[in-house]
Amino acid sequence: MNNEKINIQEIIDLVAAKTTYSKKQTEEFFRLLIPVIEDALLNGEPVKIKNFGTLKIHWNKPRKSVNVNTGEDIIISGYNKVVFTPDEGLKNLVNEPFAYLEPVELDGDVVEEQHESVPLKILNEQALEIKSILSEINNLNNQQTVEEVEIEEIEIEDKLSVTEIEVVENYESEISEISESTSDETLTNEQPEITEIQEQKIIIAEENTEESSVGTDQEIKTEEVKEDHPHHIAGSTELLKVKQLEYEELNEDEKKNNGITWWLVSISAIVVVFLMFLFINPNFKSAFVKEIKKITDTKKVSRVDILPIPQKEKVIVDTAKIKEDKIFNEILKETRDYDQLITFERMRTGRTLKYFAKKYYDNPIFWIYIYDANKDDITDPENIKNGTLIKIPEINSRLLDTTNKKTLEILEMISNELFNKTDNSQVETSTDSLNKVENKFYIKDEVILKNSSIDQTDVQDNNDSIEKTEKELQTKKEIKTVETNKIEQPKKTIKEQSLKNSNTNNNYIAIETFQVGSRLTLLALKYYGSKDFWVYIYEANKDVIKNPDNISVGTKIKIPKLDNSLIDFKNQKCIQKARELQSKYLKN
Amino acid sequence: MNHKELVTAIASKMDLKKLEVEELLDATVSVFREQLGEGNTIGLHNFGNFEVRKKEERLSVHPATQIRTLIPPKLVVNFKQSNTLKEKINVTGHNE
Repeated sequence: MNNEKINIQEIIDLVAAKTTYSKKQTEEFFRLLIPVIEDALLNGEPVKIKNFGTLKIHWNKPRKSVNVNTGEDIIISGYNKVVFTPDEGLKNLVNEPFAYLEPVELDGDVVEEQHESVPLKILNEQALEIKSILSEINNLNNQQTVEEVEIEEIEIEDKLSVTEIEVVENYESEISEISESTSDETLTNEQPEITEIQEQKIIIAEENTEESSVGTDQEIKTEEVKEDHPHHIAGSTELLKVKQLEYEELNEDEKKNNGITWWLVSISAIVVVFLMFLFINPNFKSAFVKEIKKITDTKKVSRVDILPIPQKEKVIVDTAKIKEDKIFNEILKETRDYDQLITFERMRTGRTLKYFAKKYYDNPIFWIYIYDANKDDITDPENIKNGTLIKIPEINSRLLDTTNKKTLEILEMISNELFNKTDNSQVETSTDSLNKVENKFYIKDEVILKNSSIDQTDVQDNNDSIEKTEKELQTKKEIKTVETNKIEQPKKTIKEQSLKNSNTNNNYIAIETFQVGSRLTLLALKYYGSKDFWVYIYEANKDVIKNPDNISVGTKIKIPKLDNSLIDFKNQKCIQKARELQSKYLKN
Repeated sequence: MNHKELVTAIASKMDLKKLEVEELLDATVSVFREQLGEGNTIGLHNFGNFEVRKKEERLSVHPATQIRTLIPPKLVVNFKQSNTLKEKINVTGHNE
């Protein structure tokens, strides 16, 4: 198809060539043809030409429009326009190149179809991203796979001693490395880790008491524990107090140590799994207990609590909870690497993380995982740039079980972690991490207390030697309650501080410019999830807004940061409260 | 004004018979069709251009049944009036 423009002279030549008439005659004909048509049109008559089409005048009504540069409303005045409607034959003739195409009814997802036509450039970008991610994962996994292979060997050969010592050595070296790094952060990270393993050891040792008599050595050890443990907690409380001051230095240290500690933690996690596996499988128990002894000997760390509880079953019931917790933590650690992705999605208008969560995990509340997986690319989850490539990680089904309370706890934990980080206020992050550490301590204490309470009931039936340990436990319990009180006090003060901070600091989520068509209710819906909370926005902008029903365009509106308890749109009370406020303002 | 009227109107101003004018007009129309069929633009000075435009493919959704249909691209003839013609027909303003 060529798109030449043929002028009137050429047409005259062509027509003259086609007929027997001279060029002069055809020229005259054309000179008359056009004015005749014009006259007819001006009379308001449509001009119909056979085999060609109809020309007629169409009145274009005046309409409103907006000046793209100034944003002002303008009115485009009406005008007459000559419209040509081609004849059916001409229509078909012109459309011949596309005549074979017919309208197709679609019932599939059209959105997906559009996705397929993503330009090559973007695909290349995706490929590069995936490559970099894969290489990272490979680097990290190398260490892990070595360990895993070792564990498999043990399974097959049933020979623990050699390979396990290797693992233990690894663990030891890890601890020494951590302690060498001497940063407070790693210390606090390490402590719960140790306590976790300690507990495993306790349980195993407890069962061991049937086989090996409770010797004097063990009593000595428990005494050592008594001395050691309070010291530990006392030390940690001191740390907590000092922490706020040191936190800035800490952050720097953290950055440096992040890379190393990350895989160290992952190795220790595997060790924990391994220990649990041994614990579950009774064949390895006796062999493993020996190993534990070796560890305690080689380490010369007298932290092992030995609680002689003769009744296995109760212990197992109680440990089941701990086991569940650990499994969850394990899964969480693995999934939070986000190395397995379901797919990539590109952000478009009208899409939110919740939309993706609903699509892939069947429940919008799990959007936090997607945010967590993409936190490097997303600065503000409420306001993601269009075209941002979003990784949709594969999440263990256990973490997507809404019936389990634990999943909700984890969600909360991650969201706390993420949002306090994004707040950029160091005080809050420090309090958060402190709280976490404290919580960990607190949980551990509770567990131990539970254990001890069972001890008390059971031990009463037993012989004198166990009564002794009971006393020890009681004293230990007392010490611990004292310690936990100590911990709680700074926690409270810190919380109060953070509350004060949030009250005094004027924290705004965002500043919006009021545009044509925008409304306070829409802003409330956008930022708080419900229209009813628009009052709070109004409250925060009273100085700017005179009448909430009539806000001038261009007004800068601050979106205040509100406490979650105020804007819980599922809670009827919150909505009620907002409505009361609303009626109060509207009366005024 | 239909075809016949057009022919008579032209014939009354020319020293040619109606039949001859009709012959010329038919020849003109056939030339126009040929040219447009090839995708060429016909420029008639002080009147306007007949041009072929491509309408891109689009999705249409039936409002009642929600059935989505992919409409294929097509070529249509469009008449773009010249500015002189526009001025002429807008002098009188809106008649209706």
